[in-house]
Amino acid sequence: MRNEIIQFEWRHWLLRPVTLLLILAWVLVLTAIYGVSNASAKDNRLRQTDLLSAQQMKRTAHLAQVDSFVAGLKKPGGIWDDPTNAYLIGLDYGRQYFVKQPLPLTAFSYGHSHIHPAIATINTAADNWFIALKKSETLVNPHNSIFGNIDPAGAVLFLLPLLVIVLNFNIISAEREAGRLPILAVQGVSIRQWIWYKAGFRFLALTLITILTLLLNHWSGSSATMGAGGMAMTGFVVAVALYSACWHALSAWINLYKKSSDFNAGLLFAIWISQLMVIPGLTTVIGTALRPTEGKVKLIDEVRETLTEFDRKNSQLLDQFYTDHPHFAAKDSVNVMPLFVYKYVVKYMHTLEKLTPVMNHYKKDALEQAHTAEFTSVISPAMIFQELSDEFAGNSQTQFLLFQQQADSMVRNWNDYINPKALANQQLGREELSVLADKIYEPKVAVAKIGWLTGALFGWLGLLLLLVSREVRNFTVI
Amino acid sequence: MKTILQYEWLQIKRNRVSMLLLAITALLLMVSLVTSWNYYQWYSKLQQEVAGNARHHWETQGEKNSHSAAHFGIYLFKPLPALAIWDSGIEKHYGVSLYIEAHTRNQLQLKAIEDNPLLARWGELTPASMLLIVLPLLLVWLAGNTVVNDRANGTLKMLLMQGLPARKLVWGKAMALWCISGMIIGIIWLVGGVLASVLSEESFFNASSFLLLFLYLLYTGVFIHAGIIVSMKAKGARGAMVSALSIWLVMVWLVPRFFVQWSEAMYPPVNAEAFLAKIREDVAQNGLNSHGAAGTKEKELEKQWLQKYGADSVQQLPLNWLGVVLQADEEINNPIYDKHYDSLYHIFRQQIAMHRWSSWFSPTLPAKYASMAFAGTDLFNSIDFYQQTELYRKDFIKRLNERLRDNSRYGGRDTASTGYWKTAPVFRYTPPSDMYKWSQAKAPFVTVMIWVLILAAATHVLAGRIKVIEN
Repeated sequence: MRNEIIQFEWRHWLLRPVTLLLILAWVLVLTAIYGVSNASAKDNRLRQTDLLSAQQMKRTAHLAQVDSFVAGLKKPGGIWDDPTNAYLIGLDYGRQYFVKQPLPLTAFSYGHSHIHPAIATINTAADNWFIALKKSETLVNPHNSIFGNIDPAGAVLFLLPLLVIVLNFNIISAEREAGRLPILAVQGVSIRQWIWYKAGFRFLALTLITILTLLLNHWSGSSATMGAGGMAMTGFVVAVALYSACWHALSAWINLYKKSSDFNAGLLFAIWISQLMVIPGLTTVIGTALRPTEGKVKLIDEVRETLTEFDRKNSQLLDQFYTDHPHFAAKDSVNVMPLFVYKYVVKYMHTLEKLTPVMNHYKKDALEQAHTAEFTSVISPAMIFQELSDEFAGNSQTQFLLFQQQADSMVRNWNDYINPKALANQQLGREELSVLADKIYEPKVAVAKIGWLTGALFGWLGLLLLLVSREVRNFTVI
Repeated sequence: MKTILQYEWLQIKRNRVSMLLLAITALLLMVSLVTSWNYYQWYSKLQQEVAGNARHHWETQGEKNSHSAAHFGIYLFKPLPALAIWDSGIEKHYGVSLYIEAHTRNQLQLKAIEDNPLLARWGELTPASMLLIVLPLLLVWLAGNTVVNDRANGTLKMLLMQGLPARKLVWGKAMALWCISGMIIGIIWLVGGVLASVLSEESFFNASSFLLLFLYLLYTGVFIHAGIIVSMKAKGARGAMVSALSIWLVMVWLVPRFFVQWSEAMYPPVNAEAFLAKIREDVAQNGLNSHGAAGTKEKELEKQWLQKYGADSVQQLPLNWLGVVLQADEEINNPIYDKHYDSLYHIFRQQIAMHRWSSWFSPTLPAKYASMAFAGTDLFNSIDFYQQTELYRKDFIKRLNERLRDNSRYGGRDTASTGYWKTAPVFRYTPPSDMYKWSQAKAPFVTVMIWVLILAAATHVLAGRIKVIEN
C-alpha cells in the first residue's frame, strides 16, 4: 500500500512538468541567493583580513621605530614624533582591532549585521569608546534597506511556504473534486494512510531538495568562511525541516476541512501573509507602542550632558585632578606635551568614568529587548525560524550585543591602562608594545536559546500534527 | 449601474470569508494607523526634548576657545512630518539626527532600527504597508472571483440575456470594488488626518495628502482591474484564484525585491571606512589641513593675506591667523566633501533608477516611491534636510572662525562664554514644499496612473469579448 501511494505521488505529482519546473526554479533561486549572500560575506571577510594585515604591518614598523629610538639611532623631531610616548601610543601607535569573526553559516542569514559594526577599534579616541555609538560600516541606500535583502534563510522563510502552498493547496481537495476519493475507498485503500503518506512524501521530497541545495552550495568549496559548521549546520537543517513540516501540516489540515481548492488556496495565502507580514508587523508596532525605547536618541542626550558638564568646569577639574593625584604631575620637562593634551586626557578619563554606567544601562536595556524579541517570536513559526537562522549564522542581535559588551570593556581597559601613563609622561618600550595584537571574537551559538526555540518549533509542529491527525480520524470520503 | 453595484455588494456580503477578510483588513488598517500615530506622538515629544537639550548644552558649554566650541558642535534633528503616520518611509532606517562640527561633515545617525530588533528584521505595519501589500491581495482575490463565479453559476448568461451590456456589467463589478477600496482608504485617510491635526502644527490636509489618497486609490485600482481581467479570461474559479494570487505575489512581493537585490548587486553599497578614507586622501592632496603642517594651499593663502595687509609675516597681521586658516580649511575642503557625498548619492540614484525599471512589471515600487515622496519620508527629503543642515553648519562654523580671527592676534586665544553661544543662530528646518514633493513623486505617480489606465482599457476591451460559457 505504502509503495503504491509513493509510486503514485512520484509519477503523478513529482514528475509532473509543473512540479518539476517549480522545483527547478526553487533550486536555482536558492542557489543564486546563496551565491549573492556568500559573495557579500566573502567581501566582508576580505575587508577584515586586509584591515588586520595593514594594522600588523603598521605595528611591526612601529616596533622597528621604537628599537631605533631606544638604541639612539634615530631622534624624533619633537614630542609628537616620539614612538614611545604613552599618549600617542594610546591614541594611534597602540591601536588594536577587535573583530567579530563570521561563523561558518554567516552566508545563510545576514541577521543584524547590516546594523551593528563587527569591528571595534581599541584606542583612546572618544569616537571608539562605545561601539554602540559608532556609525554604520556600510552606506546602504535606505530605499533598499526598507525592502530588506534576501538571504538563503530569508528565501526559506518566505518562498518555501509559498512553494508548499502552490504544490499542496489542493493535496486532498483536488482528489475529492475529481471524484477519485470514493474510487480509492472502494479499492480498499485506507484513506487515513493515504493522506499521511501523500503529505509525508511531498514534505520529504521538497524538504530534502531544499536541504540538499543548501548543503551543496555550502560544501561546494566557495563558502565565505572556514569550516562546515557541523553542529550549527545540523541545527539549521533541523530548523528548515521543522519549518517546512509546519507548512506541509498546515496545508494538509486545511485540506481536510473539505472546502474547495480555491478556498484552500485563499486561506493558505491569507495565513502566509499573516505569518510573515501581519503578525511580525503587528508585534513590532504593538511592542513599540507598549514599550517605546528611547534608545540612542536619549543616550546621545546623556552623553552630551556629561561632556557639557565637564566643559563647564574643565580647568577646575584638571587642577583638582593634579591636586588629588600629585604623582601624575609632570616631572620630566623633556617629555612634556602641550597643556591641552593633559586637559583632554583628564576630560576623557572623567567622561569615560561617568559614561560607563550610562552605557551599561543602555546595553542592559538593549539586551533585555533582544531577549523579549526572542521570546515574542514563539507566536509564529516564521519568527522562530528567523531567530534560529540568525543565531546559527552568528548574526543575531544578542550575539552583536555581547560582542559590543566585550569590545567596550577592552576599550575601557586600554584607556585605564594608558591614560595614567600619558598623564605621567611615561614612555613605553618594546616589552610593553610587543604584546599588543588584534583580537578575534568568536560569537557563541547560544545552546539554551537554540534549544527552546527549536522546542517551540517542535511545539507548533506537534500542534499542527495533532490537528491533522484529529481531522484525519474524522475524515469521511463522502 | 446602481443595480449592478448593489448586486455585487450583495455577492460580497453573502460570502462570509470575503466579509471576514474585509473586516480584518479594515481593523488592521485602523490598528496600524493608531500605533503609527502613537509612535509619532511619542517620538516627536522625545525629539523636541532632546533637540532642546542639545541647544541648551551648546549655550551652557562654559567658557572656552571658539574653535574648541566648533569641535564641541551641536546635534540637529529632522522633525517627523505629519504624513509620516501614514508612511514612515526611510525615517527609521536612515537616521534623523546629525552632529555638526568643525572640519568634517558627518552622516545622519540614530536609526530607530538600531534600537528595535523586531523592526530591523520584520519592518512594521503602517497604513502605507497595509495599503501597499495587504489591501491589494484582498482586492485581487475579490476581483478574481467576480466574473468567473457568475459564469460558473449561470448568472452571467442570465444577465446578458436580459439585455445588460457586458461592458456595463464588468464596469459595474469594477466600480463596486473601487467603492469598497475608496471607502476603506478614505476612512483611514480621514481618521489619520484628524489624529495628525490634533498633534502637529503642520496640517495633514494639504495637497500632498490629497495626492497620497488619490495615489492609493489608483494603486489598488490596478489590482481590481488585474483581478477582473483574470476573472474574465479564466477557465474556472480555481484558475482565476491561482492566477490572481500569483499576480499579487509577483507584483507586490517578488518584483520589488528582485529589483532591489539586483540594484545592490550592480551598484554595491559603499564601505563607510573606505568612503571616509577617500575623503581624507582627497583633502590631503587637494585640500587644506588647518591642524597639520602648512601645505601649498596655506602658503598661497598666506601670500594673499600678507599682500592685502602689506605685512611681512602672519605675526604682523592685525588678526589671528589661525582663524583665517580654519575658515580657509572649511571653504577649500567643503567642495571636496560635496564631491564625495554627491558620488555617494549618485550610487543611490543609480540604484533608484534600476528600481524604476521595475515599473514595467509592477506598480508597487513606483507607488512606494510616490507615497514616501508625498509623505516627506523618502531619501530626497532626507537629502534636502541634510543640505539645509550643511548650510547651517557652514554659517555656524564661519561665525566661530571669524570671531577667532577678529578677536585675537597670532598665537592668542579667543575665549567666549554663554552670552556669545546664545547668539548662534537656531537651526530651523523648512520642510520641502508640496511642489518639491510633487517633483519627486511625479514620475512614479504617473507610472501608477498609466498602469491603471492600461488595465482599465484592457478591462473595457476584454469585457466586449467576454465568454458566457466556460469551455
